[in-house]
Amino acid sequence: MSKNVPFITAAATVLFCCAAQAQAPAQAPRPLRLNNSDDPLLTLTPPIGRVAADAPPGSAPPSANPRDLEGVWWISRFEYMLGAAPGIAPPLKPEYMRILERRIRAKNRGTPEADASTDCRPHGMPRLMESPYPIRIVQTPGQVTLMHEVAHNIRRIYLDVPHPEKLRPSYLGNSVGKWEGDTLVIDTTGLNDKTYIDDEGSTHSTQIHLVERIRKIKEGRELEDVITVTDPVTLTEPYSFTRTYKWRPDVKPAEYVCEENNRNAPENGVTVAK
Amino acid sequence: MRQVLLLAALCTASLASAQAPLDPSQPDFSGIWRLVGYHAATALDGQRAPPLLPEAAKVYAERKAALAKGDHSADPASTCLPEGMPRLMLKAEPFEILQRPTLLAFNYQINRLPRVVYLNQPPSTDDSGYYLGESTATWQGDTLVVDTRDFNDLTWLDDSGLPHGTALKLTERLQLAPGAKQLVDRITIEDPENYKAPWTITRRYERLPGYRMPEDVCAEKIGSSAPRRRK
Repeated sequence: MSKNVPFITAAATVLFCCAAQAQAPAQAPRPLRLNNSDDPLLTLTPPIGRVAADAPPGSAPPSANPRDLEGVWWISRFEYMLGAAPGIAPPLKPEYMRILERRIRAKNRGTPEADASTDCRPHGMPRLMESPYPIRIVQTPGQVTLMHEVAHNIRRIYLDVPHPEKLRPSYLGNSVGKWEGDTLVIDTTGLNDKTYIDDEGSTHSTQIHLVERIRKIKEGRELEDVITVTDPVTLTEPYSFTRTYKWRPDVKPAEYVCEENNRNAPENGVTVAK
Repeated sequence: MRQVLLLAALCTASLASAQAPLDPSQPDFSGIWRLVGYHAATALDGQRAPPLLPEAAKVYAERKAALAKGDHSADPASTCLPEGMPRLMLKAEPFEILQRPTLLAFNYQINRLPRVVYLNQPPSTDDSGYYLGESTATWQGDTLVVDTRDFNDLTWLDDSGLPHGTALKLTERLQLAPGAKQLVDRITIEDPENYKAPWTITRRYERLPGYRMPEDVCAEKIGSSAPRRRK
C-alpha cells in the first residue's frame, strides 16, 4: 500500500492541476515591457520570483492569536513595479506615465535616475512594503512598529487615534491603525513627494493615501497585506494589490548601513544578510 | 460562577491586547526617553578622566583639536554613519524603548537607528564588527543587564571623539529610578587596547509622555547626493 502512495499523490496532483487549469480563466501573459510597448528601452525589470522560503523545519510556530503579528516576516516575492497585477503599471495619468517611461528608458540605457533610496533616504510608501529584506513587527500598547532591515526604516502605526490635524510631510507619512476583526487596517497619509510608488519610478504626490489590510493567513505562517493606493494628482483611479510575507522566526534582521555601502544586497533572489 | 467571570476577563484581556503580555514582575521600560543633562565629553562617575592608554590619548587629542577648530570631517557621524555605542546613549535626542518578552528594541531618533537587545541568549561569538555591536541581555531582579560586543572600530565612544577598538565590550545596567520617572543606565566600558582599566559612566533619562518620534533623515540634513563610501 505504502509503495503506491507516491504514485497516487502524483496522479492526484496532476489531476488537480489539470482541473485547476481547466477552470481558471485564460490569463494574459505577463507584460515584459511597459504597457506592452514595442520599445525595448521600456523593458521592465523582471521580478525576484522567490525572496523568502518557508521557515526551516523545527522553527518556532507562530502565535495562535490572530492579532499577534509579532516576529520577523519576509516578503515571498518581489516586484519592481507596483500596479494592480504583475507587470501592470499603476493607473498613472498620461503625463505621469510619460515620466515613468522616461525613468525606465534611463535605467535601460544604464543611467538610472537617482531616487530617495539611492541617497540613503527612506524608500517611501508603498515601496517600503515591497522590499526583499526582512521586517520585524513589534507590538506594544497603542502601537504596532514595523522595523524594516532595509535602510533602517521604522514605521510606527498608532492604534485607535486619528491622524494629527497638521502633518509635516515625511518620507513614510503618518500611519494610524485599528483592528477590524482580526485584520489590522492601517491608514497612511502625510507623505512627501520625494519618493516613488515603486522601484521602477511611478510618481506619487503629497496627496497619496494608502489603506492597508494586514492579517495572518495559512495558520499564521504568512502575513497578507492588501494595499490600496489613492492619489488624485497622479492616478486616474485608486487601485489595490496584495502581498504576502513569510513567518521567519529563524531570521535576525541585520545591521543595514546604506550610508557606508550596501553589504546585504540580494544575490540570485536571496538576501545575503550578514 | 467565579470561573465564568475569570474566563470572561481573560477573553476581554486577549481581545484588548493583541500581543503577548510582559512578565509583571519586571519593570516596564517602554516609552520615549531623553537624556538628562547633555555633555559632549564623557564625564566619568567622580569626574575623573577616562583611563586612556598613551596611543589612544594621542588619537583623542588630535580629534579634540580638530573639533575645537570646527573640523568635524573625522567624525564618522558627519557623513551619516551610525553614531555607535555608547554614543547613542549619550546624545541629547530622544530614543524609544519597545519592551517585549524576548527582546527590547531601542529605536533612536537620530537617523532612525534601531538597536535590538535580545533577551536570554548567549553573547555573540560573531566577529563581523558592527557599528552598534550585538546586544544580549538578562533581567537580574529589576535591572536589565545588557552585554554589547562585536563592534567595528569606525565609531567614537562619544561626541568628543573618545576612541575605541574592535575589542570594545559594554555592560549596561538599566534600572528605573524610584518613582519610575527616570531610567538610569550605568555603562561600563572595557577596551584593553585603548584603556588601562574598565571605567563606568552613569546617565539618567526622563520620560517624554505623548512624544511622537519625528522622522530624522541624516542624508537630507547634510544635503547628500550619493551614498557615502568609506575610503
